[in-house]
Amino acid sequence: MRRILSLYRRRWRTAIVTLALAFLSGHLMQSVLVEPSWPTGSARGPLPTPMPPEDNVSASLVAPPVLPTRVAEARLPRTASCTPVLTLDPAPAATVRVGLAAPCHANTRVSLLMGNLAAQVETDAHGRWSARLPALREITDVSLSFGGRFLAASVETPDAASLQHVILAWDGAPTFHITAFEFGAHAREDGHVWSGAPSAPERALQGAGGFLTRVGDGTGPAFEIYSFPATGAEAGGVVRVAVDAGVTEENCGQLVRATAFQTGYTGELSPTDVAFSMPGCDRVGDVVRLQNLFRDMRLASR
Amino acid sequence: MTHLRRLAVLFFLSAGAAVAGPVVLTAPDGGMTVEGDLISHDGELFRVETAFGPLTLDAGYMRCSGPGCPDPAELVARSEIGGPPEMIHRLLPALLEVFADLNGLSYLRRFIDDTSVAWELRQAETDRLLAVISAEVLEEGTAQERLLAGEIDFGLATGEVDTSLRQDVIALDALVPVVAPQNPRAMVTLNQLIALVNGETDDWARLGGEAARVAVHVPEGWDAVTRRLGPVDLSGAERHEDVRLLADAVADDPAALGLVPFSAIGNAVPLVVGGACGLATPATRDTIRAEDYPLTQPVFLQRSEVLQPKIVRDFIAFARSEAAQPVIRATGFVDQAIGRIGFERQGDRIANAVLSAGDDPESAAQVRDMIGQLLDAERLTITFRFRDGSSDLDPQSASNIQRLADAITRGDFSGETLMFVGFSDRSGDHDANLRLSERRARSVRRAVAARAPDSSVSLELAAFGELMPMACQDTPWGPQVNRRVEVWATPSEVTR
Repeated sequence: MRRILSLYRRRWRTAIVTLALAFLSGHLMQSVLVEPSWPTGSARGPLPTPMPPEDNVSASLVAPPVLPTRVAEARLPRTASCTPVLTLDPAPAATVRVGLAAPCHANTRVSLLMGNLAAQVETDAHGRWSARLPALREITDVSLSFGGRFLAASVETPDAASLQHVILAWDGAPTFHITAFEFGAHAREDGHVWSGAPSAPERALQGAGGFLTRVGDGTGPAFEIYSFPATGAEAGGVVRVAVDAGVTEENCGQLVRATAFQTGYTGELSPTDVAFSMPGCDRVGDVVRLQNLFRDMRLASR
Repeated sequence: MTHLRRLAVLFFLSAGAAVAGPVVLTAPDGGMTVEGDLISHDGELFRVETAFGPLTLDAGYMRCSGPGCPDPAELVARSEIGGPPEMIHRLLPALLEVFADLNGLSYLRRFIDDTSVAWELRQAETDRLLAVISAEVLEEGTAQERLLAGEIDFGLATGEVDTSLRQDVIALDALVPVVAPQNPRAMVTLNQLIALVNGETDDWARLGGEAARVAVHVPEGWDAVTRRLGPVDLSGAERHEDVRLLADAVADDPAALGLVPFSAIGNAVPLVVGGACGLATPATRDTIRAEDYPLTQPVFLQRSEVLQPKIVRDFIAFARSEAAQPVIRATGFVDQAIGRIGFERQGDRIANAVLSAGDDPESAAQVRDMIGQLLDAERLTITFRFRDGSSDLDPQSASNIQRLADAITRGDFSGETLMFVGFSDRSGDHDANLRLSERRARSVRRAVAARAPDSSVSLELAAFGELMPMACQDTPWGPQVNRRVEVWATPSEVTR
């Protein structure tokens, strides 16, 4: 096993801005600034949040102190109001924890936008949705829209450049899987990373390899990101990254489109629109492996 | 097939052009608009009768509107490229897509199957289709034939062609002996390597390793480079069209020995080849750019003399430009940017020179003099070498003449002096070698100066004969690697 030095770790600077904006007929009619006001253990009850009239518009700007995510979640005004809250917390290995608490929007479809990546996700029975996403640039912008509401937040992720990525974004049925073979790993071995074995960001911190993030509920836009350390002590060895595409009744014989991103020589993630001619309908159920979409990933020597 | 299609298009256009009519031609940035009657259109150029007289404009860049315009679908530039998998799937996409980004073009990369891919380049604002570039993986060695038959417009290849085809060096590569990471061997002598490749050494046990039958893997199309090792017999070797699969096969098998392009080492591990006299140059970006590594091989873009649409000509110009060099480097191929190697990074070369001088006081004094002259200078990675037994520059060096002249004209060396330093191989006496190496340095300087006429950079000469050998004279490549003209840059105030 080749060793990669641990990712550069630095003290997290946290900036959490939560904006909850609701739009009515496409116009922002009024916004209300809310000071952070956290309930204490003994003082439970409704928060002194101004409740806008049902059809009115609310905006809340919440800037909590630096808190671990769990505490922040515990203090979310879950019983207090319908006001949805989006939180972004920087997490180790250049990742961001995204949390949505929308108590009045259980099992609701949410359109997520991170930079120029779009995905459709769904809240759970409590109106929550959360994910840990890799930071793609030094400011991570996430916006969510659902049920006529729009929330946006951004967070600083100064160590974003410590990871390199390949990304595939598409719309519709779950056709694609990124599959990465790290340093000569074979299928289903340690080092074969895909959505069935996504590994964890901590693995990148330890310098052992990369991790996969899949976002999307399979009905709308979705994306997959494979993230791998950008630099290491040893430059030898490569990660071969392929894309598996399932041939389905819907896509057989068709031209299937997607957008691919790969960290380029400038460090920027540049998009490439791609199209694949899927095999004919006699091959429904087969999986086509696209070997030539992404370049091999390697560690730049420091 | 392509040929027929192109003829058909031309025929259609010339027929259509007879019906002239009013047109408005607009440049993509809106900076220029020309109104007039279309006289003719050949798929590449518009000729328009305007108030100022007849004008000829590039059809690839001007947008036509008005009733006189030919069918826009027929104005799409089309070009077909063939080559080995690594070049079609790694080198070409990176170059083409950065070119598109820099020129405000949007693009769609369309995968037809494992061996075919096509790009649709569109004007970003208007979404108008400007060009379709099709690329196809071709069996090694067939690109030239297909080019001559007019079936493709461009070929990418490592091998040189000796025909009417035009060829440009667009990247560099090299052949590297590799083994699996699990193979404990890190170094072999040249003779051991040749015996392994030939199959004479058929078991690693004969080199003191664990008993395992040696499996030799070689890439298709690199035989000319492989033969530089010496008289090798590749009949027992497994051949690979796809060098990525070659590298994977070697990385997976502790008993494998591969010869693999530097651009595709993948998870295999390079073996260091030591010469009998102790001189060994590992393959690195610098040693390949300087052609000090003996198995270096340029990547050629080959084309026929048929005039290509402007957008395609622009792409070729970009692929050869300085701006393309970091893109080429990111693909794993070696770029042709001019690097600098400081004197302090040349300890092994200096040691070679001192050791070669031996106890002879005269030689020692000459080495001292050489070190004194080069101490404050930096060696450029551009080096000029010659075809075997000839005074003609090899292809990589010939391409370097223009590259160095361009860099001088650009002002990359303003405030510096460039010294052309000639070296010879070790046959013959020192005085003859000195004269020979000076003559070579002088001819290279003349060629560079002719292409950078308005430069104020002073170009000086030095020659040291056989004083700084880079490779053992007794290796097949030794004399050729040692016969060279190096270029060193010094701040002008240091040299008098």
